[in-house]
Amino acid sequence: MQDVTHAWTVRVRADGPDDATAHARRHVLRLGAAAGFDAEAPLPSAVEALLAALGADLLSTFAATARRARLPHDALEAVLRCTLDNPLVHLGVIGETGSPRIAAIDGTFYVSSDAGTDDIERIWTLTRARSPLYTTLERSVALAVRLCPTP
Amino acid sequence: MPLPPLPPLPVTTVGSLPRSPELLRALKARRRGDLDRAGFDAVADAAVRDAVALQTAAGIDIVTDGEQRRDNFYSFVAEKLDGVRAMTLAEMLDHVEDKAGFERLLATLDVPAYAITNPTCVGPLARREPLAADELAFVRGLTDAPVKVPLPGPYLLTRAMWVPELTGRVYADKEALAEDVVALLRAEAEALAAGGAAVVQFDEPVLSELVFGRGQTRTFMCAALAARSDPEEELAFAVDLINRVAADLPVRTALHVCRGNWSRDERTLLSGGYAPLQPTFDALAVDELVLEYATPRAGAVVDPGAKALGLGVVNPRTDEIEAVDDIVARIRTALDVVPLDRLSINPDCGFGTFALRPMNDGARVDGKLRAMVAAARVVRDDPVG
Ligand SMILES: [Zn+2]
Repeated sequence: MQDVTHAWTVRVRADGPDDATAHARRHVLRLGAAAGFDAEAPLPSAVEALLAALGADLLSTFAATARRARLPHDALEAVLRCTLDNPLVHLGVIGETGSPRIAAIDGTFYVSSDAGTDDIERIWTLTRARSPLYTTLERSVALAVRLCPTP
Repeated sequence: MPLPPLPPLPVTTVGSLPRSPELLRALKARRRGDLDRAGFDAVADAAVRDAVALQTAAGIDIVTDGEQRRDNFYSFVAEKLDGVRAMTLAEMLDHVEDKAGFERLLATLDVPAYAITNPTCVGPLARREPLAADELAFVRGLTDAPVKVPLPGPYLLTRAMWVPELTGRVYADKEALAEDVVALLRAEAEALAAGGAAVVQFDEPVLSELVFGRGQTRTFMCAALAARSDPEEELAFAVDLINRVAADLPVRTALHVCRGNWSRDERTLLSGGYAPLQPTFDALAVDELVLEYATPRAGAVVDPGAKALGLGVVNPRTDEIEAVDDIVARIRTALDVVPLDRLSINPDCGFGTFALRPMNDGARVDGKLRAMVAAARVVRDDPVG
């Protein structure tokens, strides 16, 4: 049995106003603004990275759960979207009230599998219960990720 | 050249029928490399027999093989040609120019990028095996009925295959690629004529996006990869390519143009009559236009001039089977514009344009085919009503 007690460290360095480099063990990740509003921004924002992390978590947790249950699948894909309660507060617009918090995350989790829908749904339920990021976020955000089985 | 004899008001399909679960499993196993060609063909042969039997039992006059062997109506060429690689859109995301627009399209249509494969040109094109001549030979071995063979049109195929980052290393520009696409399709159409096809249909759905698409959501995955240029120039380019493939072929030629067949959500499909395409239609050297008229989105019936018209009378994307009386009324309305001997009857599009995204199940397809056949019989006996 491997040691499942673990802590993770990420060191994030400021390289410029909207430019950060994160080091996670020997891996490097570059991110831009906190919440980017510029479609042409050269780096993904922290908000986008959070969605990416949630997506990657769900894909990996689903794959591991499916493997253990011997559920065959050909392809997995997640698409996630979010909005902020009041982005103007994040921008510091005077007179704006409320919170810049993420108001809601929704999206779709696509699974291509020859397995029956009931089996896929069972794995999906386990996935959500076993996903570190999903279980964290669902306590603080309106989180709705829809399962979409495809042939 | 005189058209081959067909029954009056022939009933046909646009090509594709839904695939069985076994066939879908085989298609995916083949894609993964877990099933060899012979293994796949055995499953597909059985599926084609069923597809032809379904059409024959329903009373369809011009049958197809239901495009059972194809993963979709254009990317199937990748397996038949050198220089073409089937890439899923997930693999291609790195190469898409308009990434934000592409993401909007995927979101609107609620589609995973893995579900669609594109035939991307990555080397000089060469015909390794026939695109469809062997499909035709197999169907002709099953039935004496006239057989229609759909092929992707040269404009669609050029636009889908041309991915600048990859294709630009092989061909100087899209026009240079188009030369080889035209030569390939022309040779294939000639082989189909020699093989006894009754109709060769070229699918060019993207034409409608050129004229209807401005300001509307993009609806064609197959065109999502190419940046849109001037519509007039594109239409002229398309007409030139189609005519060089289709003109003076010794077989009846048809051109299918629709407004999208990906989603059952009608709002994601283009709307508007075909009138803006009328000058393009007039300039095309094909015998028949196969168009959609089963929904109000399609507008009034265009005047096909000297061409025949394949009138779409059932919607492949709905559960309800169209009432025979309603279909009869549609056909009679079309007879105000097109004479009886130049009219044929078909659904608006395929029932399984994309193998992994069928628009209907077998039972409803059967119901819709039978409704068309029943309506055609009523009008044959009594055209005016
Ligand atoms: Zn169509």
